[in-house]
Amino acid sequence: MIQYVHRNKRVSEADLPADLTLLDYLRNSLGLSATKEGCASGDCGACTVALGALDESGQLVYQSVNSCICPATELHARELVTAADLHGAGSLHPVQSAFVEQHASQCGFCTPGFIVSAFTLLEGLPEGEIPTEEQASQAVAGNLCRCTGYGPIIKAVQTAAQEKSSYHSQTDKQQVLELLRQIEPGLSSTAFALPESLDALAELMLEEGSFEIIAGGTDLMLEVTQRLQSKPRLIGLSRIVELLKIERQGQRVSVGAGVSFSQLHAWAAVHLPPLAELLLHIGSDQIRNRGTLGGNLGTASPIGDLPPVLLALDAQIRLWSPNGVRELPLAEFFVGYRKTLIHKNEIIHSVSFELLQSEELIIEKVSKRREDDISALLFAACIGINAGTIESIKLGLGGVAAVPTAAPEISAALVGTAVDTWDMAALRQLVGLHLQPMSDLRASAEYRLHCTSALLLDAITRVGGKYEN
Amino acid sequence: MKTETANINSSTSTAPVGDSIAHESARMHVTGQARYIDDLELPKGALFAAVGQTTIARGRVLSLDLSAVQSAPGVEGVLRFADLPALTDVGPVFAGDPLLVDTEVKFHGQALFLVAARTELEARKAALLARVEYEVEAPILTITAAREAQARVRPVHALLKGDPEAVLSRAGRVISGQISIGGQEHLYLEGQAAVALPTEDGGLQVFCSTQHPSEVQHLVAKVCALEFNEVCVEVRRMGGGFGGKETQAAPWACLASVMAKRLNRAVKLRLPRSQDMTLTGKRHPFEARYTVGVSEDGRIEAVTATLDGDCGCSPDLSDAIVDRAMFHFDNAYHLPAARIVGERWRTDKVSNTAFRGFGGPQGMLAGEAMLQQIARELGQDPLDTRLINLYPKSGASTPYHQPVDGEQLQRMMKRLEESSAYRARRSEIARDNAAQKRVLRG
Repeated sequence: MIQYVHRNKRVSEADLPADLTLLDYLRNSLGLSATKEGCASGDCGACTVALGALDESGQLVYQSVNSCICPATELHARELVTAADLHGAGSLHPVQSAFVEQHASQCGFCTPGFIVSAFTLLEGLPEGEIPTEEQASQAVAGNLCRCTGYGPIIKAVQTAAQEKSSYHSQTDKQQVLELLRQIEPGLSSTAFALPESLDALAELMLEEGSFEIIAGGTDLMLEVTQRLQSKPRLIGLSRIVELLKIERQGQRVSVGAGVSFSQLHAWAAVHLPPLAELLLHIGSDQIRNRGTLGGNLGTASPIGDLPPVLLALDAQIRLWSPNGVRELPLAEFFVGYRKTLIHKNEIIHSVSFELLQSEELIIEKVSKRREDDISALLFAACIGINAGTIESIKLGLGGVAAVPTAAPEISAALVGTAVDTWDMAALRQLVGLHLQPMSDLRASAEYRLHCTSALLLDAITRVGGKYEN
Repeated sequence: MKTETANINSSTSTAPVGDSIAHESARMHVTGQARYIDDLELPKGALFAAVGQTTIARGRVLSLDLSAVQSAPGVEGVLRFADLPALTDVGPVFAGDPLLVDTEVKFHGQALFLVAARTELEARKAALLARVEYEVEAPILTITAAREAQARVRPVHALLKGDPEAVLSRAGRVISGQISIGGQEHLYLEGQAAVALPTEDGGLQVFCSTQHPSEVQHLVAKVCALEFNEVCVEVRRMGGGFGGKETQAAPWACLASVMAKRLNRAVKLRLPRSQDMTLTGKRHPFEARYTVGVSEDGRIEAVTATLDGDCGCSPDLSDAIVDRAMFHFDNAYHLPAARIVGERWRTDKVSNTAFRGFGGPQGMLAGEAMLQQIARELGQDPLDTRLINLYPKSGASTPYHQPVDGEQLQRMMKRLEESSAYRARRSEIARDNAAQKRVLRG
């Protein structure tokens, strides 16, 4: 039984199909058409809804998600908020009235999604705080408007914050919190399960019958919406507490595979700023709220953004199965195009790495668009330079081979050399010797080689402090 | 409740001109109540249609076996070219846009057949089950290849003013260049969608997201062998169009209508995004080549230019679009003698169509590229090259012989130069760049 809260009421659904999207559930099963389908692949944001959940301190926290690629069953133990839920009988929510007053809608099709993204941003800000243009822009980066209305839209988001009022009245909020607390967090049905612990997962995995594992689903659900595949039985990892932890022991940090990009961003902003900066350029808020570290590694895409960074950090990956755990260097995990060493009945448990000491982490993402785009090239390097000599360098490169690669031959050639001895021609030759990227619609092979060399030169000269300006 | 339209009663004498009045649908937009085609409640028994597409870019269909499509779960009907009852070509001005492939395949992803089923997913899954045998031919995919094959959708024509070749032959300096301009997808947020409902008197009511309801009405009538007055087309609103729903909305309304008549059931056809992007036309890519004669101070004396439009597989609106590019090549500049040739090349791709500016932006971009190149080759500040070539206050005409008064233009550019502090900023940037050891942007 799936239970969630909508418009201050608890809603219960008997088994929903595992691969039913939240958008189709809203539009087709419930006939609620306020939330729109623009692309059915998590790119345009027209389908954005907010999911409210209790955080560790028992507070209600909202996150925006692309309902088109989110399984409906993820509603379980959440509060659902759509653009149609915000206005009262006679009054608009401040976000809605600001959009009206600032002329922030033209054709209107993208508007419900923008309203929810703006709502989510404002709910997360302290009372009375006006978001900066940067914050407002970031919050709607996953919402496409094609009538070219971003100016008024951003102004509307900021205007709304001036007369911000909480979505729920205090009494309603208590009621919603109470309803959410009453819902059993775990979920197990014939089609879909959301186990809460690795023990519960082990039990499910050892039962008979086939199943697929789903984490954030930002990749897997495209098989449903774009390739029209059926997923009769899914086990979701999103509620397994052991996978949601970021733990530190001395200088070593372990990040659970279920940690979302958003959660990782909050941590990295304090402990690893270059990673935090990169995370803002992975997908959009809606994608970052769902997409996970483990998913980004498990798909083993050669253009995934996190694998190169973790390779540069010389990370270890921990794999879990009902039979036990094993750990191996991440560099050994990727064995071919979208192929890894993971076994059947095994999941990614976590990734661990040492926090930086004297080295510097440089990350550069090359893509056509600043937001919500796939990398043509992902360059990561962890560099230690002393008195002009490269003492240590670990690389992580995406988009230059069939797998994310640490290109150890290139690092080996650089270690022990003086930064001054390298120029663009020498690096281009070295890079060309060890990388054979392909040409595709995102970049030509030559462009990728040129960029890798240029970014490498830039990284070592920057870390070496050769140029002050 | 906020009263967004209350300020109509403004006290100023010019009201409502200049007042800030909310969009008439704004309240419905922000609350999600504004209804688009996909939001309409359908009558009982309504069916969902999906398009089966070709998997080759050019060639012939040797056989089309739809038996697996027909027997797929939920399927209630299929429609192939031979089943079309009347008009089969929905080209808006000239023929060339068949509703479904007969035998000739004109582009990859062209509509081959339609299937209607009880749910959208059933229809989409069934549409993947056709067995098709093709005779594959090599497609023309670039402007260069089209030029080599002399493949055109419409004849070439030119604008001619004076004797540009003669002026070029004695010009102080002759500069040649070219620019390649890519296409663009409309990506209206609401994809193409139509619902066709048979009426009790044998007609059709069609709900459609289109910029051209009357053309949809006419075409639906013609493909269904109905009179115009038997077809009612309603457009409540559109979730974006940008030119992409001018001619490109008609095929789906027509197909849904034919199927609705055939089965006497309401039929909805909504293109999923991936199909929308392959089945409908885009902005025309262009290549432009120019030869320009200039005086030592950068003043244009004569120009010959060819604008090569990539029209895709059919004329659609390309005649007018390439014309528009030709009309805008001068942009704001006086071309004393000019020959501007517009080519309408045929490529074996989806037929390119109307898109914001309708060829104008491509023409202007080519003209501006020419101005930029003159500046670069003469070592002139590009603003100076532009200022010296602006249409003068009197006595000038466009390449299509329309007299132009450039006084406003001159004044506007002068004001922009001053208000933007162009000269000061430029020298500041030059100073800053000279002090940098690394090459920054540009």
